[in-house]
Amino acid sequence: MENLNAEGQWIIMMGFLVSLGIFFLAVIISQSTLVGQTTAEGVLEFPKNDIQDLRHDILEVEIFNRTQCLSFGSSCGSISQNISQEIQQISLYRKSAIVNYTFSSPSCPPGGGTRTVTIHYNNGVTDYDEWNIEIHC
Amino acid sequence: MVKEDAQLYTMEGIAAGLIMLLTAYLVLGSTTVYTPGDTHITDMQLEQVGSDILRVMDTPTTLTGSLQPSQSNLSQIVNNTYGVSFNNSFIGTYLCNPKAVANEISVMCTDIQINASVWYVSNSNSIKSYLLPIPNSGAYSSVGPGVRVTHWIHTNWTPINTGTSDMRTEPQEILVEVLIWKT
Repeated sequence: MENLNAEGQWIIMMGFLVSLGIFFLAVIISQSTLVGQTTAEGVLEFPKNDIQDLRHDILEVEIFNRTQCLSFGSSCGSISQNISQEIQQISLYRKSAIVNYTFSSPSCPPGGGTRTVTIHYNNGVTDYDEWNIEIHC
Repeated sequence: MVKEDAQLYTMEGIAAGLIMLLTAYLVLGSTTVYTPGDTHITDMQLEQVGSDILRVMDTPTTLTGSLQPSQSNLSQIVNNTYGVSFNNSFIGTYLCNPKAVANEISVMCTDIQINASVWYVSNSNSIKSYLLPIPNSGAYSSVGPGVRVTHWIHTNWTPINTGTSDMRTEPQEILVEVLIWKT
């Protein structure tokens, strides 16, 4: 070892550093395509449109339940129950999703106030719960 | 006796070789061939545009005398089973209108076909459907995956001309399902 030429050690070290840098860049590049693919799949898998649509419809049912349902008299209760069944059964049958919703009281308290709506949605991949959406009468 | 000269050079050579091998392995391993079916980007756009169109079609444009929203375009179409009108609205007014929501995909909108059905719960509590009769050009083939978009409708009207006598006559929720595919 005594004959080892000790010159040019900086050059060797810089060579190592540069190659390590290239190595890490290669690692990052190899991850990027994977990230793009999993993101697109994640976006596709999340049932954004289904949840938005269901939420919109349930809030529409709430308006019906609060304003027009009473004009049907005694059959208002069975209509509301049927609507709830329709949403649950069709969701299960066509959308493979378990859906449930509740309104806090059958109608507005006298003199105004708030009603709360609770929505549950689960399609096996995404579990979505919304508690106590406040509706001002 | 083995000579002991240049051992550092030998080690350096081995290390450099290892690094080059690893880099080559990483670079070769990171080149993934992407086919259009892998990216799902067109499906995603089509699904989004389809949902948006159904939502826009279900937005009432006028108010009634008592300032309640009147029946929406989609609700009218579904209640009267106007399949042709649905097709014209969905494809002509919205999907292929360059001024409408979907102008970024209007390039390919000439070869898009749709099919629509309506799902309801009958008065004997079974789940049934009827089709909105849409005139197809008979191109029942597809170049990519089809997408299915749905929209819930709260309806106060009993649909007519459907050939389904078992629908409830009271306000109810129905699901409009549209299958969209590229021919």
